[in-house]
Amino acid sequence: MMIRKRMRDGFSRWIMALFFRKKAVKIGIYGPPNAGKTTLANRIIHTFVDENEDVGVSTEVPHETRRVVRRGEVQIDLTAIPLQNPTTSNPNAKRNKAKLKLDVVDTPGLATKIDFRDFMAYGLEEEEAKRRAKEATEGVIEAIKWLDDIDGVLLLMDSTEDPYTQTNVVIIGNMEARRIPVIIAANKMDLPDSAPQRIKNAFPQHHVIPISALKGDNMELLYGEMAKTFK
Amino acid sequence: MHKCLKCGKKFGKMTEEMLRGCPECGGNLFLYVKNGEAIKAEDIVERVQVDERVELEPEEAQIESLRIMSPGVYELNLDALLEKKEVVMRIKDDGTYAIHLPSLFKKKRG
Repeated sequence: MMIRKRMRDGFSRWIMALFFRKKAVKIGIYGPPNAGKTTLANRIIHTFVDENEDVGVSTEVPHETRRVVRRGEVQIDLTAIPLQNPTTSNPNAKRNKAKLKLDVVDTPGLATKIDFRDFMAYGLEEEEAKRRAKEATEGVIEAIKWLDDIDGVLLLMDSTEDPYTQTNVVIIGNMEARRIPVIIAANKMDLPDSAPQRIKNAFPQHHVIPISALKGDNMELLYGEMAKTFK
Repeated sequence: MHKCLKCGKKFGKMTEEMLRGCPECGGNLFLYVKNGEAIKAEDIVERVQVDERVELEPEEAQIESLRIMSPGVYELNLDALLEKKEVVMRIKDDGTYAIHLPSLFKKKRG
């Protein structure tokens, strides 16, 4: 009797775990072209999944990512995170036991105008540049349609640029209307012209975390904020 | 020469200082006049002819989410893309539109 009861309890626990398993949170990395979205997506995957796995290729040519790329089941475990840069590490990180299961969605850069001539400046032939412009336009529409499925947005901005653009204002306004939680990451803090304070001043109602996705600076702060906001 | 429209002082050459305003009075409107020509701002208004008034379309009236300006040049209306389900393209400025039906019928992703 005892054995049968134990088996039944174990079985119902397993069934419960199967049905009430916490679903992964879908996090979309959004932002203007060349903000560093793919670099950030790659860093998250390198840190928590596999050092050799890339979500996409990042280059200096804008609109390099022209399709939405989703990498499912990324386990963010702050207790296991290796310290990439001890000088910027958060002393509280060790005490922070937060864990978070994510689907990371890397999206094409949002822009209001796409002109093939901008690509020709990077040495692309006219035909190739026009094709890229068409794909980039499709990519923007796809990225926006994906918002219907997103649980949280990591809005990436280039902290060396003026943050007060139509694109940034429109995205933030829309996220607020949809009540999607947003974290702003002020990327490229390693560059001399970086001014994350400008972003903080422009959008004071949101958390702004200065990071360098390329160098790995302040990543623990960002992961900690993600674990808090997107839980 | 350049004439300050506020104090009327004339300058032979545009200097860098003048880009920040008239060195005399701080005014920032200058009129280019030929040497020896006596002219007032009111006269200039008479000279300017407006051929036709360009009607600007109010933003709410734009139904399109995407405007194709020429092959390879696109203008995206992020507001419309974010607010509306369907994708409406404006192909030319003569009022040709295209509606992307799959975007209207597509089921929500699971």
